[in-house]
Amino acid sequence: METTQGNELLSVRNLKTYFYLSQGHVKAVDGIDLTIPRQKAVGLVGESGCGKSATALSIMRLLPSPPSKILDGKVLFKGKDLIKLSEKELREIRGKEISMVFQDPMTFLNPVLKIGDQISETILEHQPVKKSDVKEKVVELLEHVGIPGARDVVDYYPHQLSGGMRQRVLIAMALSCNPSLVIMDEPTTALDVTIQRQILELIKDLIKDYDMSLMLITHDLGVVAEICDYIYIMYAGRIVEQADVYTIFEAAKHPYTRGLLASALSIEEHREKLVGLDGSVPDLMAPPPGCKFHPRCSHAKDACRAEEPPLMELESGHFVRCWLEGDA
Amino acid sequence: MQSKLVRDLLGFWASYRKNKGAVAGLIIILFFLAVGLAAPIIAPNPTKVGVGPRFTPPSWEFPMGTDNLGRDMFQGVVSGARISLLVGFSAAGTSMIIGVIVGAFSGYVGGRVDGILMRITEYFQIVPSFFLALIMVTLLGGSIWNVVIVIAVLSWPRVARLIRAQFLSLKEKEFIEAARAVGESTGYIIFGEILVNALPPAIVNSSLEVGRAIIVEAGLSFIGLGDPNKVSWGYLLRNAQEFLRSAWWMAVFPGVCIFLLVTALNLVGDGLNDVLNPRLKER
Repeated sequence: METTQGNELLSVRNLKTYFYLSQGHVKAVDGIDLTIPRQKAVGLVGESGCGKSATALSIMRLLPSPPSKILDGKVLFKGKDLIKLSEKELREIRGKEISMVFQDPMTFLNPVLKIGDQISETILEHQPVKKSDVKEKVVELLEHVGIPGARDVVDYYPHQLSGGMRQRVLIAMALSCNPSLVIMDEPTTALDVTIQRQILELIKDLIKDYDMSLMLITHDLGVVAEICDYIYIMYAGRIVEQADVYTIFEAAKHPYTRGLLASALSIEEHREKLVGLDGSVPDLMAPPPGCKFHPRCSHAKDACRAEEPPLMELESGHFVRCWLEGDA
Repeated sequence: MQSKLVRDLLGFWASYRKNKGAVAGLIIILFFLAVGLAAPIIAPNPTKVGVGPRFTPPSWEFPMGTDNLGRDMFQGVVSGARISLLVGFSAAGTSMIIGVIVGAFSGYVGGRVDGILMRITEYFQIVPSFFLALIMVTLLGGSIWNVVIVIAVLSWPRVARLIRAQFLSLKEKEFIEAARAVGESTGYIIFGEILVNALPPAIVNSSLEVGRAIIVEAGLSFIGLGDPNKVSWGYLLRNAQEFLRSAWWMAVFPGVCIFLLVTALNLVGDGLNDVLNPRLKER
């Protein structure tokens, strides 16, 4: 990935975020490298509790500290290290340069503020728009994200909208200042399937319309396949495999990635039994020695138990953290 | 803008008027407010001695009778409404301002600041409040604004604790995280996002605070610590206590007024609670 240096918008280097709890410290993000090129969509995939959201919130510097602490690493955004910025400088970036769409549209809108006021506040915070013109801009945005009757919706309260509509409002809010990067944390998980499809279509169109990059966080490989150009698979605070979307679906090497793919449901094939991954995400307070995946891996050998494999490049752009690939 | 505000108010009224008691309370309060505002016209001389014979029972000329010095009780009660309402609303307003600032700051910042502010708040709450009021009025003197300040100082802790509790839970809400994620300033998050959610219970409480303030003022005046130059209901009651058996009208009319106004304020508090608090509005 070093070859695309000139084109990268966000580059995370060796990011470590730990949570210090009374019971011990949780290595939620444990030395992650990832790169988001300009105008590309990058997926970050893994099970619940593997550190995906902690990664995103660390990039935005939105994690409460304490208990969390960013121990090490760089988050270079347009050449600036976000880790080193002051709270005031960060506010300039949040919303304006990088914005975020959250999982649950029910709880991420302020219940007592009108839709229009919530969006216009973001615009007024970051852009030299006159108060009298801001309503037009909000209506335009809402129309762009496919909300019918946008002129009336401006005066609605969140509880007057359906879940899908609210998610569109959140997306409109995230886009309101033309950010160059939008981070979406499970944007479709709380929605039902038909609405999910519509929102995915919308996101795909918006990436083109707004010339933005997208970091999509999800546990659903189907969603990633739909939108993303490049995929990072995360497990227990580490990247275990990364490749472009075709390689992941055609030639995934890590047993965890293959397990995720096998557990994804497909309409074409009829299965008697659901295939899943056995076991669950390891306790991040006391992760297993060696490869963190070995307790759940059916191919585990002695080397896997003894030492954690490095991230190895198999072919250009395809990296995997697995001993099985190393000497095979 | 204008029409939006009107629409909001109409919507508010539509749900408020479902509570009959609250509507009655509002009517009583508005009545007393009108009387209090018009007091200088209706009752220009509440303290003038000898407008009629002493101890005249209620009659056409003196609808509420006269007192031991031949003063017109009706004029006294009318100007008492003005004083009681003035003290009630000013004290409740002041305590609301102090309470909101302390509570918001304490709840939002948390940690050590919260600890210190809450200990101070508790000091005010554990001291028997009426005795503190007695001491403060004795020291400061019994002008009406001193009475207002004393009552406000005694009642802000309730508001502060209410607002703080709201802030503690609201600041952890997802929509606050979302506001931070789009780069909102701390000031806007506190006042624009959290306070608007925290206010409804404080507004309900403030109508009860007005009632409490009126009672405390009446109590202070009753024992002779109110403003001696202003005729308030408590002052009239104090005056009446000696003649309770011979001139019932001297005590009954101010007493009934206090009862009606404080009941009305409580009814309005209930009504506001129905509309604002549980968000049961079927908009």
